[in-house]
Amino acid sequence: MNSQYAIETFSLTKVFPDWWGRAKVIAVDNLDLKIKKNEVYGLLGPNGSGKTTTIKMLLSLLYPTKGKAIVLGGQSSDTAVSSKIGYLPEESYLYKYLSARETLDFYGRLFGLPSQVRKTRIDALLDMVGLSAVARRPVGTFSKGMARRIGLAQALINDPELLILDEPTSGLDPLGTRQIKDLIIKLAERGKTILLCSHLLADVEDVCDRIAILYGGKIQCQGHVSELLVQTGKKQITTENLSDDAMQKIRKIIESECSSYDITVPMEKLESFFIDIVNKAQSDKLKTSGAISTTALVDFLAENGHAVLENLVEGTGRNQTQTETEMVKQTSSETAEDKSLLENLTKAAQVEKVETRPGKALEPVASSPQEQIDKQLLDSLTKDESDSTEKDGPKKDA
Amino acid sequence: MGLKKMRKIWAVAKITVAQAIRMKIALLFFILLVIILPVLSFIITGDGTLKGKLQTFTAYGMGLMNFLLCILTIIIASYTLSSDLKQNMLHTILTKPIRRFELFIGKAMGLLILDLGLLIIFSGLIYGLILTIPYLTKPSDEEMQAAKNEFFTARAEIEPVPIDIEKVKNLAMEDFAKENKLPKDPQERFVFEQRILAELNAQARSVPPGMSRLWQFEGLTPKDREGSIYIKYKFEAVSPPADEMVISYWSVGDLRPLKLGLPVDPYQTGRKDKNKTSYEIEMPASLIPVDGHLDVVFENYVENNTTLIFPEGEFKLLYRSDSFEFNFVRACLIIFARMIFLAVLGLSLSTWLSFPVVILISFVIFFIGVISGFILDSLTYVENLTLFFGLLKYLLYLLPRFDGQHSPIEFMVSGRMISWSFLGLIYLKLFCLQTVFAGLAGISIFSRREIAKISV
Repeated sequence: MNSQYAIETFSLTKVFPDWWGRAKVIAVDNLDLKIKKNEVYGLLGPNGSGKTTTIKMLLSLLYPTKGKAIVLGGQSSDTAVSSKIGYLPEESYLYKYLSARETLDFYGRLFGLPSQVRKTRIDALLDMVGLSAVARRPVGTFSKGMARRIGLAQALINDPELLILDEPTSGLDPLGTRQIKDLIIKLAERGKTILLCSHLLADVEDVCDRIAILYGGKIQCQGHVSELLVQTGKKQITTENLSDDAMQKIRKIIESECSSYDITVPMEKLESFFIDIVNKAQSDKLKTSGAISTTALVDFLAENGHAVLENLVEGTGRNQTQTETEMVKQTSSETAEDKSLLENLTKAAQVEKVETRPGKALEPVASSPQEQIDKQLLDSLTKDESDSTEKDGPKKDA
Repeated sequence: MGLKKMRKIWAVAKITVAQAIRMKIALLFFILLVIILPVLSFIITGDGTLKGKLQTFTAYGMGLMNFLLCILTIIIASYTLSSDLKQNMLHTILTKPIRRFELFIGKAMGLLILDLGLLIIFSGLIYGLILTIPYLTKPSDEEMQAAKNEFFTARAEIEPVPIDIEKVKNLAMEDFAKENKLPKDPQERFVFEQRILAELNAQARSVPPGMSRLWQFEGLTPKDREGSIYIKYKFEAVSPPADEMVISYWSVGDLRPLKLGLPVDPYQTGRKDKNKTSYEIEMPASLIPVDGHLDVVFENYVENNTTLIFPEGEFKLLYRSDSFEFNFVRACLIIFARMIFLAVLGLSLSTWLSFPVVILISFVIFFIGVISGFILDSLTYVENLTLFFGLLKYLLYLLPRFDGQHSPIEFMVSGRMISWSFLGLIYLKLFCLQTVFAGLAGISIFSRREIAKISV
């Protein structure tokens, strides 16, 4: 068994027969999927393209008509393998009458976790998905997005090596979507393998290393997101407001290099705009019966603030305030870095290839512009809203 | 490792109990029983005597509890797994490190715990009500004594040593052969033999007027040698007297010394009993010698002018051999065995059928169990079974039986002892064979089936 792959399928085929046993629908057709360990892999495709069927075969909820699937070096029906998998189904299937805490406790028990570990992890997870305040409410009374958050929490209860997420952001508010995306990135940095299945392209584009586009149960296209999406022959520069003098200099440099260029004021992405507004409302302590998000996740997102995740992994509580101060230090030093980076940009015409993929443990790109922009966004989330106005989104405009 | 497994199974069991409790139906049945049982204990009068009231309440109360708990078990068992399957709950659960058989066992265990809890609550309630009835009705001493002797007891029932009719027939045939009276043709000889057998059978059960009949009992071990033993009997007059009353004389004791010409001192009593009515004669247990032998001589007075027939199984000797309480527990354990079976059956069926189908099949099997004794009895009188009836008969033997001699309630009503061996036999058949078979079939289907639905 090749150990470099977390998921490997060989001619995986699923045919749904009709009542007479005749082949009716070929849902998955000779699929050869190879997902490396510690990779964020996106499975894209329109409705009915076989994404969910593939996932269900990987999880032994469906049996392949032909071919086979190797997950973490074995069959997912083997408990030794399934104990290392976290799965979020396309809808959160939860017992309506259990509370959020009871739900997580139940799933924790299915992993045979001892009660102390269960308790610590559940606390950390509830905190992370922003449901601590409603932990005792029956899940049946939750909105779809809140149920989704519990669904995500249960997928993480065992600190999985492989996380399979089927439409993780469906039904979530933009804040929740953003959190899940950030979480995926963070988990990837911690060495997890993530298989993400979605038809929301923005989700996939923001977090995945590699994607495959499925259609009719076959892979139509596969590769690194950056390679697939990069517009060769174009470059984009985004800066703070510059003086007219600096603008003139830049114009001259560019005109000497090529003939046509386009200068626009970048628009804030609706996603980050929305997040700002909700953050403000939350910091003003406006009343809500819904999920309280942000803080826990932002803490945990801060470069050194792994508190929540640490709790998940080790089942030990760590002081979160300490993490916050570390985070503030980190971000202030980054602002300084940003400035020097700008200078470099204006001087050198030769810029590194733009890396669309955000921070990644496997091949850390030390200071790619994209990563810096991401960090700015993080700043906007953590610092006062006054600081966080005119920042660019994580994506370059085409 | 084993502990981890148990923890998973226990988690599923707990969820199953929670699920069942939150189903409104369990609450409804609970309230229904909690209200109906006390009301029943007040309004039921039976035949007017204390014993009658106790017997009728026990029959209805335990009958109702048995019926409702079985129905409840069927409903919950049919619902729990099929709803999990239908609502895709298992997508999340079975992708966790729990084997499918563990989930099945967990569900079964949850149902078992729920059933046991409900059974303890309601049997406790019934027992309490049974104990309060004598205080509320203020019976006469005589009534109280009768209730004590025939209801608040667990009496063993012993049948007399059967006469070896086959042996008698063979002797008779030898005599006929000696006298050269046997038909030569084998076909005719067979018919002749059958006629003799029928004649002897009739003779063994009948006592002509002016004649007496001896029954012998062996292996009697009454617990309380200072207590009483009872002879329970019923006869039918071939040509009943005008007033339907029959005079008889009984001698009971160890009459074996008579053969050696030694004197005996049996218990003797003359009686005037109504035709076709069941009676009990109480006598001291000290009549039984240490070796457990007892002779009972019945004399049909010539004045009755009719032959009396003792129907098969209607002549018995009874004596107290255990307490009412232990018998009650055993009766409840039999009901519990049924509930376990129905729970596992429901789970097993819902591994491959949808809720409405599962509940229908479970109900059918339950009701067949309730009337199968009746059907089997009626089939025994059909001489040439067709293939269909033959198959039906074997099928009924395979299914569990809840009625007639398998019904613990009838034992309780008549104060008859449910022996441990009888209980063991029921568990062996109902639990070890039928329940385990249903469970294994369910697990094997469940382990093989696809959990996710087809959705493209």
